[in-house]
Amino acid sequence: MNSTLSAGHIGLVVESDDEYDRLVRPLLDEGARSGDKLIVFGSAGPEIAGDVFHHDVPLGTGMLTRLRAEVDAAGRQGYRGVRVVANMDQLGDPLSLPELLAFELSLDRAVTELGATMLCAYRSECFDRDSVAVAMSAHPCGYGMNSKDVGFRMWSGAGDCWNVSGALDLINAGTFRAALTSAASTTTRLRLMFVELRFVDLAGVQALADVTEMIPGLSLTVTTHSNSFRRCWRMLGYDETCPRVEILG
Amino acid sequence: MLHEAYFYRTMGEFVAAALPFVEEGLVAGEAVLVAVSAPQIAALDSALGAGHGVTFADMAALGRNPGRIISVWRKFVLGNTYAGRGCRGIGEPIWPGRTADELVECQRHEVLLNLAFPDSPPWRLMCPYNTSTLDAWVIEEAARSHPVIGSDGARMPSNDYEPDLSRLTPELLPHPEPALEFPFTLANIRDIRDTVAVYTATTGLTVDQTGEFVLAVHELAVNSVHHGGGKGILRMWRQPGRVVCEVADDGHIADPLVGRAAPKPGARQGRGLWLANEMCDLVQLRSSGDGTVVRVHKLEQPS
Repeated sequence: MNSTLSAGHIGLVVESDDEYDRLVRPLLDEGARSGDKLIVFGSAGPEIAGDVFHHDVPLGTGMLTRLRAEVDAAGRQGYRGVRVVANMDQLGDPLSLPELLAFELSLDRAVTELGATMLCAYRSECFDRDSVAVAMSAHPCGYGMNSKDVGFRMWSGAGDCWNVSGALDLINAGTFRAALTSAASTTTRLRLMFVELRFVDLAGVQALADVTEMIPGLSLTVTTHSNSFRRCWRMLGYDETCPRVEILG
Repeated sequence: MLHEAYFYRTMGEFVAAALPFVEEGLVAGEAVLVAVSAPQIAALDSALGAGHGVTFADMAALGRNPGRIISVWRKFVLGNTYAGRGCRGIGEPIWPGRTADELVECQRHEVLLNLAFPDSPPWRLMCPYNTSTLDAWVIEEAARSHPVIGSDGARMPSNDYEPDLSRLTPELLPHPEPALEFPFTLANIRDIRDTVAVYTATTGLTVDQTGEFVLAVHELAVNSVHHGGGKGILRMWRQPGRVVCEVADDGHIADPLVGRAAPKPGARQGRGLWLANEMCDLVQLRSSGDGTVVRVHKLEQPS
């Protein structure tokens, strides 16, 4: 596992126990060597040398509360931090797609704020492709089967900032619209950084405008180097009809 | 719209015709837009003198792709109509050096202009044609696509006026072999982006041009998925100085003006072909009950 995949909010998709063990164990081993408290949400986890704490927590706010408590406790207990593996198929009733997306975005924000490492493990036999795609879009990096995913990824930055990478198109524009709506639910000001956003089609541009128009009072700042995006935004007239959106180069 | 072709032989004759046409509009308080070549702009601007208030546009840039000219006139007319102001224009979309493909699309543009302003207040558009540099058949076609023709200071109804597109819908030339061919549906539509980008990487398109071309082709494929039977075939090839991409599907586009007006903000329809017109240097659309073919051309930068 390279260093960029060993910290922060990591999405993992596996199709077998062997693959799960092969990909998750190094992350926990590294955490043990670094002095992190190792936690598994769910019943199972790879066998490693060192203590691993298991908790059964439900998806949703219960997990967020538990994560915050564990980070607090780990600090008092002398750990450097926490490293959590969440077996997403073992954490209670499955969430609807919008709920799953909103939950993963909340989790991403919490992981960033707490400086934790959180690996969300999705077994392909337990989740359909749409669920996996939606869940992975709320992780800054993918691992396992989805590492070469061509969708978009949205993850939290500092303050009211969210980073977006990958590609926005007709297939995932609905998910992007839902992700923006979810991110806007707790603030009136959003900043989007298009980081390595390789492609945005008209459906993606439209999604951005839709959210701004649907949420009165929302201000949106988009920072992008994409000439194509800026040109489309202007050509479609949104520079005039969406004055609450500011496009920065 | 009062749509007239004006035949001239020299720059002096162009100015002699354009100057009173423009001045008449200015005296009437009309907005005037003149979209011609850079030398013609310089000559007319000089003849008008300072502070004339005419808007000039270089037709070589604005009308490189004739499929986007109507969009410009519509914006001009609608904007001024909304402001309660009359308007008139001069537009010369055909100049020596246009390729055969471009000429046909320019001539289709001239016919479509007669259909593009059914509800707007009367306005005048003069289309100059240089008879000393253009072929005779081009001039003859101008008389068929304009209800009024003029020359040597005189104007008259065109006896040959026939605003019918059917004579200007030739079969597209067969694509050369071997063309890259890529059947697509929604399931693999994302692969089109890489396919086009990889193909154009070996051509003279810049990074920005490639981005524009990829987006245009993607949106044409989206149209095929949404309106063309859910599937289509992408073909790509190179011609001297340009990259050409064709998207074919089973759909039928009945509106000959599709893609020639900027969609209203928030509109979900009519955006793909309009964007292709904006992003590409030439767009050829042929549609019938047998299906639709859209060819888009992107000119390579001279090395």
